[in-house]
Amino acid sequence: MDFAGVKVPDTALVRDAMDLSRSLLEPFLFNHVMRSWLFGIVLAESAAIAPDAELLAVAAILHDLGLTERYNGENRFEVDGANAAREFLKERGISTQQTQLVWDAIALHTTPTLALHKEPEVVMTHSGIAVDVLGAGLDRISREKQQAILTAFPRLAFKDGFKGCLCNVVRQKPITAVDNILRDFGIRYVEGFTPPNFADLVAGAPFSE
Amino acid sequence: MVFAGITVPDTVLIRDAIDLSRSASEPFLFNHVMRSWLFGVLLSQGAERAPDPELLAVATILHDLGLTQRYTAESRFEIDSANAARSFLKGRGISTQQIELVWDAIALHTTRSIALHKEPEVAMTHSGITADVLGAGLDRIPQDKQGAILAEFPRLALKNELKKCLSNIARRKPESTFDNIVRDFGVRYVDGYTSPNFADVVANAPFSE
Repeated sequence: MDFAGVKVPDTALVRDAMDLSRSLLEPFLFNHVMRSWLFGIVLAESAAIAPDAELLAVAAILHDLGLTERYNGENRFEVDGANAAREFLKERGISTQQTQLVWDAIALHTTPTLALHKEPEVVMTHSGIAVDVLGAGLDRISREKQQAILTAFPRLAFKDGFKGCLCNVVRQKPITAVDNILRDFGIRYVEGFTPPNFADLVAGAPFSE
Repeated sequence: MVFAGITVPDTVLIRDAIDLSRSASEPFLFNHVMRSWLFGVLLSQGAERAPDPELLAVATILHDLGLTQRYTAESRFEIDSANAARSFLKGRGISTQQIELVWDAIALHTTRSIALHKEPEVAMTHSGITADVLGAGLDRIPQDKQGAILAEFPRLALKNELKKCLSNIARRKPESTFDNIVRDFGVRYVDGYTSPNFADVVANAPFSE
């Protein structure tokens, strides 16, 4: 199986993950997870330690399930997405350890200062996503591959759609947006969003010193 | 082995971790990690999923090595600490999986929105530390036990010292603070500290839409 000229593992697990994602995500978001996956594969080609191709696929393809109606829960959207992926992997003969790896990859995909120090699957899930969201690492992907990926899975106003999704999360469950990058969307776009400053919480802790 | 009336496992590993922490850390920091450990032990007693007591001990006792002169490096301080703990654990007959659990517990100790959803050792390391830093969960610890812990390991101006430590990090390696709570110390206490807003970075990514 290949997409945009990039060879991907052809397994039932990967196909099922794509089907799940396609059935639940709006087209702009489905295209984003597919591009993220393909960017991750291309970046992984020059990695010192290669990620498991199937686990990378599942993590990248399912990483935004927490932004869908079905899987949006009480937690930060990354954890909701990670929990959804864990559920998907159950009873598919994937070990607990591999499942946890996918969980970590999704839960940490917006925290580069942690993700980049974890296992190859976690690193590459983050890196592929960061290419698509921030353009980080685009210089390590040939123009021609970038173009092919963007043509196969067009952005469909990704920046706007994504901003809308994240602002909704901030509005709907602001408590989940205080110790992570979602806070920045709240600060920039959501009226009345006032996250606590962690330094103030420490200063105000119920101890005298 | 008993601290502040709390029985803890008496193993070479734990004694060595305590010695390492004591020798590398200033007294206020050593006392903080010891209190965090003991709070974590108490909070674990009512927990649904019990953490491994030795791994919890090592993670809490070593969690701030990245704030010491000996172990501070180029990553965010939690990662520097986690790496120091990994080095400490190597060659001691601890499985790779257990080492990674300690690594995760330390790396994620300031990210509540993820740590509480991970393995029991990760959740409890966070919870013990948070009891000491923010007073979170103190209501689940009897007053006399709190008093005993604070008497045996006094705070020694923890609030002020922690503020200095974290502000120094925001000054010295600001790029390690942008996606995490140390940013709040930079914003509050460090002259000239500015961090990018992630929403702006997305808006300015090198894609037209």
